[in-house]
Amino acid sequence: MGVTKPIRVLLIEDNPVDVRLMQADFRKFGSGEFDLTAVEHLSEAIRFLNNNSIDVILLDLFLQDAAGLETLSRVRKAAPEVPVVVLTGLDDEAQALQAMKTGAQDYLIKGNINSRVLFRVIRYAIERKQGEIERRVLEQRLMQGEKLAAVGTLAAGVAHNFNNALMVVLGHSNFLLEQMKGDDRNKLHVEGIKKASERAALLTRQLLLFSRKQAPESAILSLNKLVLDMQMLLESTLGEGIEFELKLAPELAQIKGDPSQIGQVVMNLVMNAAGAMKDSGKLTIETANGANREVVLRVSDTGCGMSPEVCAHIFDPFFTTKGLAVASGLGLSTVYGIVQQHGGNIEVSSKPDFGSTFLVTLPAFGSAKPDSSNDSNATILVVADEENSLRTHLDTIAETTQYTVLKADNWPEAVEMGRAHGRPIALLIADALTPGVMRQHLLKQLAGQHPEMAIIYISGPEARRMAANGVIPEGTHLAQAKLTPEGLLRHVKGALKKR
Amino acid sequence: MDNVIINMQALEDRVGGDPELLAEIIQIFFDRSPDVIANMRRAIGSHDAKGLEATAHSLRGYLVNFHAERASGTALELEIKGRQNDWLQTEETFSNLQRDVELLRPRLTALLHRIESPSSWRM
Repeated sequence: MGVTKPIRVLLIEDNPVDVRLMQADFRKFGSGEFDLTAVEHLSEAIRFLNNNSIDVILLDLFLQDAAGLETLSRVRKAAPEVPVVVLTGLDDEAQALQAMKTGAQDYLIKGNINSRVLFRVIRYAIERKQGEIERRVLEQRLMQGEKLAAVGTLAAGVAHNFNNALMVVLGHSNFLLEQMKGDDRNKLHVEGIKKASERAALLTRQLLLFSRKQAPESAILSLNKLVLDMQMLLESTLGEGIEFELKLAPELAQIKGDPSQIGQVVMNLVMNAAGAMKDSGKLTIETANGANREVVLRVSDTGCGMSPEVCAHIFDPFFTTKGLAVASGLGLSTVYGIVQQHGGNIEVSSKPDFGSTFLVTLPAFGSAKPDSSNDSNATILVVADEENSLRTHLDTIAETTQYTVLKADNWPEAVEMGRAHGRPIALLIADALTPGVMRQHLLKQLAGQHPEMAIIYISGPEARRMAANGVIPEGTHLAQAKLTPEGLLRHVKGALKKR
Repeated sequence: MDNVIINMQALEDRVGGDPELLAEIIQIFFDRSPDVIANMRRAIGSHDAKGLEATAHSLRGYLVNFHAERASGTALELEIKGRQNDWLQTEETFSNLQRDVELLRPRLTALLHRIESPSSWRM
């Protein structure tokens, strides 16, 4: 049988007969279950409450140094979380009821007290107070949750409008760049504007992802790419003294899920780790292929760690160790919910003062160890904006072949995809009109990552000019601008064979 | 009639049939109540309403524990007079209280004697 702690009772009573009778009740019938302390004056009681933990207070409202409801209000001020049972005479019941309206949990009528009634009232008072506290906490958390939801809505609205404004900035920057001659001394500045706008656009996209204002979807996604997409946002969450390390598995299998929800898993785990580390420490995000066709995400910190008791409740909704002012208590329970919905699992290991590790496993989609040697299931990366017919043609091709098609809107995204993709990219198809600062540099980066990669440039005057200027690497396959899906497939097969 | 002065059954129930506990609380009453009554008399003499309310409340607390219904009722009357700063017939009510307490004392003394000779102990 487990040893339970006795209920600590403070009796504030100046009538020695009442004190003696209750002491006898507790000694005879409540020994071991209750631990009674009796004081005569309110001032003494307040001193005691300031220095000791008490589970319940039995309070006579008429003391030598305080009388009436004022006695109760002073006790409640000293110990707002402790339940109070008022002791009263039969003729003072009206006042006892008044006391209950102003915060007492129950009352006992002197002369009608016996041990059975006394103990029952004490237990109920404790339960009632706990109920009141829980209700208040839930109300506060609900308000906090609503506040967070409102912040999310606001963030999404701002991000959306901000993104529209950025598109205008980007458009004008592109226009100016097209007008400028190669040696224009302002070109560098306009490119700077464009680059900053692209970074800001990426941030707003991440903000939209985080605020979950994008429609939920089920997509095949690379956890590596998702983490890389969020890298900037994640780093901005961490304090300057916190080291951030990514250890992304090079051949990570893909997963199927809602990118915004998986993004939230990463974000919440990082925010939790940041909270555990405060000013200094190291945060590591690691991905790996699990042994049983699963993808593993590991988020480790060197923070304050957690006791086994805290670990046991860490995924409970509304559980927080940080106080309601700073935490909603919903972060990790949301993570748990999302992981469960995706058919995955989450575990935590932690040691106080040494840090914590959260291990998320999600089912892998498709082959965990893809075979890249066969051209028939090669990965094709296309760089073209969303409206471009190249993308729809490739969708058509993907339907009838085993090619995996990755689509990037712009060059920086293409490089990230190339880095994050778990298997070699066999073919890059780029529309020459896809804008991109430092496109040549980024293309080199991609080619460096995927040395076997063939390249098709969808031609036009722009591509021909680039080829003539040596901007496009040697051996690049130039295809005419207006292609049918069948024509494109012929180019794809041809380019893959030439590798 | 007897129950009005002291309700023995209720008192026995309250102490759980424990003679030592009963003796102890009777002795506390004997030790403390004279001072409380003396303070009450002073409060009435000086028309100290708060003092009257407090002392009458204090004495009533003792009397309620002995289930001395009449005496505790009279103490309540004085407590209310003090609360309401009402000095009409206060002396008379105080005399009634003293009489009620004097009727209670011999009963309690008899109880003490019986407790001290265990062979005759029965409430």
